[in-house]
Amino acid sequence: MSKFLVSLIVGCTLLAVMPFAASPADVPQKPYVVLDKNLSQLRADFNANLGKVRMLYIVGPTCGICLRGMSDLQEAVYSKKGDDPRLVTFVIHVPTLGAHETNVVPASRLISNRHTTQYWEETGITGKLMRQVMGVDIYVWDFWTIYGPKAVWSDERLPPVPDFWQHQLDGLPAEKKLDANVFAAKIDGFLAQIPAPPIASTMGVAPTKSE
Amino acid sequence: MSESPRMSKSWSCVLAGFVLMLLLMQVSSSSADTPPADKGPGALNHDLAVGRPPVDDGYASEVPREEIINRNQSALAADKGEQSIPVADEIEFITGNSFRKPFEETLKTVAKVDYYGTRYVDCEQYPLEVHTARPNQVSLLMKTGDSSKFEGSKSNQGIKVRGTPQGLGVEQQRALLATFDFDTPIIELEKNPHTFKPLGMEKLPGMLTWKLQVDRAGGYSQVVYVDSHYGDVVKLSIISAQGAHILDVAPHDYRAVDGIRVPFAIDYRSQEGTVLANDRFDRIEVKRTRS
Repeated sequence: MSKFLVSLIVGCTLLAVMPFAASPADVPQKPYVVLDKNLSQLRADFNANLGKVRMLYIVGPTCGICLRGMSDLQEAVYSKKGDDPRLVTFVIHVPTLGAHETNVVPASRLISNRHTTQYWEETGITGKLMRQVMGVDIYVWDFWTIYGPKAVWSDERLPPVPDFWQHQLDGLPAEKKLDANVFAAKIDGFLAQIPAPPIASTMGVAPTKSE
Repeated sequence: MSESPRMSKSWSCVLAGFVLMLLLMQVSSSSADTPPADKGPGALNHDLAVGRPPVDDGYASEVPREEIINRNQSALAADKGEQSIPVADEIEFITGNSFRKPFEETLKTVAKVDYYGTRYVDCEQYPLEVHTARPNQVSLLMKTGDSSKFEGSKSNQGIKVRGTPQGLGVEQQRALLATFDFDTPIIELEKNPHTFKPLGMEKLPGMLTWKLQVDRAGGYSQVVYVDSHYGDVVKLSIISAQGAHILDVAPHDYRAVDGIRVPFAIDYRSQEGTVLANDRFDRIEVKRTRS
């Protein structure tokens, strides 16, 4: 009987422990970062890249116009500048138009760049906070920003005011509609404030994502 | 020994409790770990259907209703292609293209469009004329030698083909004629939003396109790729009734002529991407209906 009991206890314990033991090895790492409502990881990543030109995009991963914006910037910026380590991009996917986390990966493929981090923020607070930052009356998404090398995210909640921004929304100024070529030219202007890296450093730098 | 049954019973109780506790722990742990975004395709729809405000800190709880609307994953346009990206409201975005509007309105007043140019096949070239007219009529004349020519047409009498086309096979040329459509997808969608099946978006070299599928005459179907900026059809894949790929057609070099957008170049490719022929037009004439 005691043998039976011991086997039963061992069996139950193994059964209970199995999922925990299996999970780290079996679960593939996501190609994006899931943000909490405080956007703490985004804030950390933003500040970890002080001294660089940072782009922050708020997009809906099932919004065709947002996707077109990403595709346009791929053509105008990323495919031309390559993996310049002075440029760091944060793409925040929010749950507009019924988007879910499963939509992040297909949309993310539109930007191909080593120094770009994709995020999924499932409450959508990012757009609400940016609305506060910009002092506008509409929820802010499909929104494309550039921060110069000196920008610091010092507030606990709110991101800093962008140094340059464009959008594809109805309630914001028409002259600020996303134009990938204008956007790329602005990036060049900010890049001029930073010394160009030695050619070798563009080849093998570590990803800038702080994790 | 006499205690054995009692011992066994109490051990069983302890074990049962232990197992139950472990199971409960796992269930509660897994539900806490599962992101709310994985609640399932119907989750958002359900919340909206019963008019409940979204749960604090939950999925889309900070997004205004007008930016969510009543959508779920099943409403997203997508196909099984690895390159396709699921999107919401594809048809609405295609028909709402403001750049395209004036061109579409003008096209509605056009009765005929004639194209004059050359078909290039490898190093050879052949004079080419294509005459199109409402409703979906097309005739093609290609001089293939001093005294030989290829003629193909689609009219009320059906498809007629005479001679040997250059670059394309007779079946490919026949499929091209059969699937010809005078109007653009935008005009067709305005007439009937269900004409095209939305398939999401796909990146082609240099541009992101809306992807649509449509059934055409003769049992053919087409997968149509529409430039997401300008609304031009930039690629058509023609599929047979049996599902076999027949031809890829890539119109490009679009320009405005008499208020409509027309391609001055068309490339034809096999499924493997081999270029079969190129048409280049140096003159396009637009004839309007009497108003």
